[in-house]
Amino acid sequence: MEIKQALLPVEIERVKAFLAAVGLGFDDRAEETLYLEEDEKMIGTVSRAGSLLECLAVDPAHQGENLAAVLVQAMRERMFAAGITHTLVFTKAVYSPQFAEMNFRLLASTDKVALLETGAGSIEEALAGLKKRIQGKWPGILPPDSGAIVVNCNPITLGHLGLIEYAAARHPRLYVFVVEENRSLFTFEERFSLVYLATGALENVLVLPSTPYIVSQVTFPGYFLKSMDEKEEEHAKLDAVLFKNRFMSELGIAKRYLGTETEAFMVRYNDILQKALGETVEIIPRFTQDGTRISASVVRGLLLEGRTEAALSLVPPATRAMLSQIGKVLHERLPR
Amino acid sequence: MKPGIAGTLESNDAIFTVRPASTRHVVIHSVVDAFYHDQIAQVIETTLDELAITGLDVLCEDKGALDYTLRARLIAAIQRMEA
Repeated sequence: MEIKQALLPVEIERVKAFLAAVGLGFDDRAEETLYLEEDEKMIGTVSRAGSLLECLAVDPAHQGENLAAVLVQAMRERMFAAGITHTLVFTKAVYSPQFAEMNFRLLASTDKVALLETGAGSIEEALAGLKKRIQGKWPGILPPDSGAIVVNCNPITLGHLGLIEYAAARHPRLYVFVVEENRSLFTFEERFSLVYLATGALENVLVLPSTPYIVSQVTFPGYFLKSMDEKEEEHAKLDAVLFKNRFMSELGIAKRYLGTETEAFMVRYNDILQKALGETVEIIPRFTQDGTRISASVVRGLLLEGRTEAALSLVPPATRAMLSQIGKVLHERLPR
Repeated sequence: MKPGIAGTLESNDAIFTVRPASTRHVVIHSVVDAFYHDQIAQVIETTLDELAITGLDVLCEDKGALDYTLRARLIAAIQRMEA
């Protein structure tokens, strides 16, 4: 039995077929995939995207041989080599006990899916880190009536700012979480800095890193529940459960704000979040400029076309200088 | 500084993940925790004393390793961290 890296397209195809046979989908955004081979037959596979383990599957004929642990161990060693010491896994709830055997700690679960973690770092540490940042700006006990928004802001637009200003006006404090996952055209550092600049004038707003524990649309490994509906349903529920049980209570967040979406998948996501969190979620219509919704994808498109002036007119004034600088090198980041 | 890591999840082995810190902070997850938690902690403390390390963040994921294995993995992890 050998452990191999799936590097060639033909190998990836084999992995996809293997996963499909057990009812899972492959994540095209996976950074690394390993598979187990015996007598030239694939009997197991695992992938990862950043520090998130995914697409773990073992041939039913070989279950009970601890192969899942072998795959997880091998992938963790690859992660260690890349300097990643913290591992998260998003899996079907029925597999939670197997992961617990491998020293994974349960973060949140619904009856269908579960999120677990292992290694250095924990949600407790992450929340403590956030608290420290908050107390760095506002010393003392955290009040229970703050607002929160989770944004990707790729890059931040006047639309995002409108949403932030709306929420900031309704709470003594607003925490703006910028998603840390680097799956966007603009890096996390850039997105964070732009949001920071844009909200500079708002005294009661604090921009924070999302931590790996805000499981938003961006980090969603949409692979293992077959239908679109099941997928969104369970993922969004988990996001809600985790956010509510840990973030809201620890950080004194009374309400989370979401902007309306147009993509069907995102709309459904918002709906489910609202159903799960009830009144503690408010969905606000996106702000428009001259009747058209301002969206980050439009801004990105304009920048890539070289129509910088038009792009800058859709973003907060405080971010224009930095954005035009980054805009000059954007096309270099596109996959060739 | 990159964290230092050594070990595997095989039975009878342990994985140590160490990071620089101002004080000693040791977290142990062991499959035989109820029986050997204190003994594992003791081995770690003694090893850190021998190396005159006053500050270190240590995460030990133990799968039933014997003392000498714990020592070896911990030392290897520390050396990898400094390198």
